[in-house]
Amino acid sequence: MANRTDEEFAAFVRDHSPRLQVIARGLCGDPHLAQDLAQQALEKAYLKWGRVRRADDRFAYVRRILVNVHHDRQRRRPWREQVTEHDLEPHGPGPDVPGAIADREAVRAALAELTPRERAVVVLRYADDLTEADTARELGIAVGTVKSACARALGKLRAAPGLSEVREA
Amino acid sequence: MEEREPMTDPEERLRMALREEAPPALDADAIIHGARRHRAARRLQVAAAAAGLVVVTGGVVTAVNVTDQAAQEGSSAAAPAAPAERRADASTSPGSAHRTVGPQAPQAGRDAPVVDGLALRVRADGFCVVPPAGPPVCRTGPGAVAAPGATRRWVIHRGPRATHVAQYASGDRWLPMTVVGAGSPDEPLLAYAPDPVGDGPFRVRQVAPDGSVARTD
Repeated sequence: MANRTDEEFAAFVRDHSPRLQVIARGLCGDPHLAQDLAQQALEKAYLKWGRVRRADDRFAYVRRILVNVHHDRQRRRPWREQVTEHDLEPHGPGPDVPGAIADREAVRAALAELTPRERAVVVLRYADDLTEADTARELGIAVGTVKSACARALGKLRAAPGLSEVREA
Repeated sequence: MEEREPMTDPEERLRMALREEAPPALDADAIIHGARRHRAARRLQVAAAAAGLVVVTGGVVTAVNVTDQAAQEGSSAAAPAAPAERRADASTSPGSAHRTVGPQAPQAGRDAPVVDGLALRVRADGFCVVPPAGPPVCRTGPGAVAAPGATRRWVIHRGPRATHVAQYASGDRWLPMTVVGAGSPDEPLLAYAPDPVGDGPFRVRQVAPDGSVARTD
């Protein structure tokens, strides 16, 4: 049984841990902390793998653990949060071009200025394409709160100076 | 000439920025090991609480500050009970899970007793410093995790109970825990189990210098 659990879990980690790290990165803004958050969430998932296995959507179950881990960390150690340190190196090789990197960094810097709730809403809505209802369920808040937080966040992002495009006229 | 255009489609840019190149997958074996160890540590902490102990797991005590009085008199948990309550501050920082500081309190000007070959020298100012090594996480109390470089300080009352040795068992085999401080009636004994062996359930006991079991859960 333990072997079966371990094999299933290892496959889950292989398939989904990159995506979990991306979401964690969006939530916390720090690539190293994101790795820690994803690892903590997966540790918790392993310890209750029986429940994860029975879930309709295993990834959604673990993603919710990840969001809760992030919230717990913020609640316990708000003075520890450091979301403004930028990672200028993209993860892994990719077809990225300098303009796209700069754009990503500008978006991240703007995200760092959002409140934790606004950031969580935006990340779940746009990084993982959750509906407003799913986002509300994931965060344990009302759909109306998701809508208002999202609208506020987008307003802030539109006004962020780093998010004005620079083009040759 | 450049002109700046306001961003008109933040949703799309958000999607593109958030869907970055995914990092590599995490190491499942390391996560499984960490999860099991964390579970064992929690179970041990629960068992230890029943025996009046606070168990520190997964880190290493890296500095002990002995007060002037204690430094002059020396204080050793292996020696007979200290005549008066002495205070020492202890702090932790990242360290190897396989290294422990000896149960004896350090004596100024002398090498403190060590476990696992880890040298611990007391400086003239009363501090003894152990070079940190190993994973950058140190659990300094039930559920508390210190980040690299973080310092947590305890005021430890060294009293007669510092002479006791803490042990824990998963199954029939009793394993030693390092006592890093002894409690007054108001403060629990602080014991250190860097990497709990086994998966629980755990039993915890304190053993007096004469070998008698002082307290068990």
